[in-house]
Amino acid sequence: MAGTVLEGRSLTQNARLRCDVCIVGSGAGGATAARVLARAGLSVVVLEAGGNNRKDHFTMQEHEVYPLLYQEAMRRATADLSIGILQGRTLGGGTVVNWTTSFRTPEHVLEHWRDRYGLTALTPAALEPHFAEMEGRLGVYEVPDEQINANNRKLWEGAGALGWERTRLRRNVRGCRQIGYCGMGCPFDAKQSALVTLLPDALAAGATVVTDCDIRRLRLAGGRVTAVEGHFHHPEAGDRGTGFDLVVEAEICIVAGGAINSPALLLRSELPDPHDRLGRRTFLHPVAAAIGHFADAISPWSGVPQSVSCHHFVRRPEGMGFFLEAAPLHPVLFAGAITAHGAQHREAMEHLGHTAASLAILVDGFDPSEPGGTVTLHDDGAPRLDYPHTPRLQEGIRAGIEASTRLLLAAGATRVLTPHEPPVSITRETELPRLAFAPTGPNLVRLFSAHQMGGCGMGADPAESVVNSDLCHHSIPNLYVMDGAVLPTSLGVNPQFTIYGLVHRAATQLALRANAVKMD
Amino acid sequence: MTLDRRTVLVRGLWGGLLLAAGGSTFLALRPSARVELPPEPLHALSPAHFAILLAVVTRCVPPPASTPATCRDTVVRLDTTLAQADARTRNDLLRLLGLLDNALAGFLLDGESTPFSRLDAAAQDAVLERWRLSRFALRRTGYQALRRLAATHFYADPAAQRAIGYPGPPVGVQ
Ligand SMILES: Cc1cc2nc3c(=O)[nH]c(=O)nc-3n(C[C@H](O)[C@H](O)[C@H](O)COP(=O)(O)OP(=O)(O)OC[C@H]3O[C@@H](n4cnc5c(N)ncnc54)[C@H](O)[C@@H]3O)c2cc1C
Ligand code: SF4
Repeated sequence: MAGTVLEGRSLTQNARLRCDVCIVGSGAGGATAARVLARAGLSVVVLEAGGNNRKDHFTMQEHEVYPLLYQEAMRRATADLSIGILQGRTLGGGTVVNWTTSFRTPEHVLEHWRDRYGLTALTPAALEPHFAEMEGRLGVYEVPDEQINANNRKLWEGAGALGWERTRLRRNVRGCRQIGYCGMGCPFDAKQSALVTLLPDALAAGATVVTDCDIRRLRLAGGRVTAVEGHFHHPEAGDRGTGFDLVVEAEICIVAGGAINSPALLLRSELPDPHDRLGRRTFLHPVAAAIGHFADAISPWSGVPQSVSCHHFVRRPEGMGFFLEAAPLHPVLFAGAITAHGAQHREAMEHLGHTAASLAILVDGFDPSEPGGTVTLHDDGAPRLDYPHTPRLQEGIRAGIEASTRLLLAAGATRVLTPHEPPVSITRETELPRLAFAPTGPNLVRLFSAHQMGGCGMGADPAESVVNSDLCHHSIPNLYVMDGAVLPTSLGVNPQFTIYGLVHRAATQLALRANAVKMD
Repeated sequence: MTLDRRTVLVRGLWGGLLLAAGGSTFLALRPSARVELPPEPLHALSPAHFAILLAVVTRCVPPPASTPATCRDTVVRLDTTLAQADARTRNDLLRLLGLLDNALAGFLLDGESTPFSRLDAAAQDAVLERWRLSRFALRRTGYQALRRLAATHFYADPAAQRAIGYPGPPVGVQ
């Protein structure tokens, strides 16, 4: 029987629901769990804080779509604003706004997790069928040469000229029209986001989806979650409440609000946390972007946003690794990201059509010296993230900016501007030593993150993790976390498929267990 | 231990500096500049806030050549954004504007006793530059908040986008 989507903003009374499985969050993790569990015959309710936004809402106007589709109207950042946080908040979560790059979890990362966190079940062979199933459903293909836009072409050529390892990317799109608006929601439904794949599958199998509801608390009794509580609001109007609330009673609760939000929900619920792990080890893949000016037109807003990458420096023995990718540049995003002031800002904006960007994406969380970020709560219950700029991070940023600068110059840039305050302008290789004098530290180098991970880390030892490799909470047997929050480290590749794979595996096992209990 | 960490971290962002700027002395009360207000009513900004933000936007993101997009319209858009933001964000930003224009704080930290909004353009740039590169982390944070809001709201205007050669969405898509 086909399920329904309820828009919380239009409900005129409190809502009380009862189900087998309640899932908080409809992004990569939540939607995957919903599909698997609904198809297994369980009654599933998915709760989403964002709106029921569809392709008609994806107007390709930045000022209209960012407040609809991103956390905190795209103003989310670390508490000191030193790292801007791009994170989705809409039906389908980050999968609706992401740039579609699709990587499986690297084997050396799984090996590190097995050795360091006792996650012995997570072998490449164990995950293989789950990756394969999700890649098939989401239409993953390798980008052909003719789909590489000018922005990515510069990255490809620069890496090639320097002899650096470079890769053609895979992405989850069917029938791409290559207009470059992935970050604003695909207006053609070509991007195979959860919104057009996994959630319709779950609905077809009878799931109920409720949008516009902010889940505030899990209710606990007798060491189990008995219900989740939230209220309805208008996500497009500053989260103004409608005055009505929601309680869902469930046998099983899955928290899938994504990193930052999932640990915040568990903190608000005052769950037992004897080892102080909740919200700890939040990783961001911090990004430092260098921009290159080219004589030829780049039109960096147009075409497939990401089609190539350079993983040459992903495992640097001398410090934090990083990988390089391009980024789609639209005016609002770009204006807020660059570090120029006044006339310099205007000049950088006027060059936008001839600009290519190289993002150095830092691989955080693999060294014992890195605590990662910490999620706590503001007085109003909203999450607050503090992220330390360790010496290791600062060294990695410096190396990453230098590599991006070299790459853009090798690709023919006439000038490279770094993300320092103020930007350092480099026109030839011999000027690179000037980067050594550029400032370091919070808000002296502009950073952002599109990949949030951790905060409810998985591991075998309850003293240093929140969930086990089945994504079940260590001390609350009917509570699961199924999203990016469970990653014990960052990845060194874009995270969506790691989340798809891990959650598909855990949800498949949960479905077997839950159905066995039902039959008893 | 857990409690300590959380209570320390949830302190308000601007607590420290506001304390430094507190007190109802003569300097702290020197008024902001007056500027002509838009015809439509403001929702979140006071006339003083409007004047301070107008100066910030004008200094941070001067308009590209030959565009009808203006810094005044930008501040009107910012007013709407702030009116819709959650109370914590709005209050933090309004306090930040107050602090930037607070003559006592400016005098104590920089020897500058004229409110920011009353300074000439070069002096305003100098103040923003001091905040941008300050050894006080909170001032750097404040500068980032201001420039980011100014830049993203200025370039939200399709006229500003056209002025830098951005074609906007392909025609006929929707
Ligand atoms: C601009 C951008 C580009 C990206 N590009 C790529 C890419 O190319 N490749 C890649 O692999 N990854 C990319 N990512 C990252 C990827 O999209 C995310 O890692 C992934 O979506 C995270 O999945 P998740 O399930 O952890 O959370 P999300 O997908 O973020 O979903 C969580 C959902 O839960 C909801 N929620 C949270 N708290 C609550 C609550 N209390 N009550 C109700 N609902 C709640 C949120 O609103 C959200 O919709 C990108 C991300 C962004 C923002
Ligand atoms: S580039 Fe392709 S997937 Fe992205 S918005 Fe355009 S059509 Fe959709």
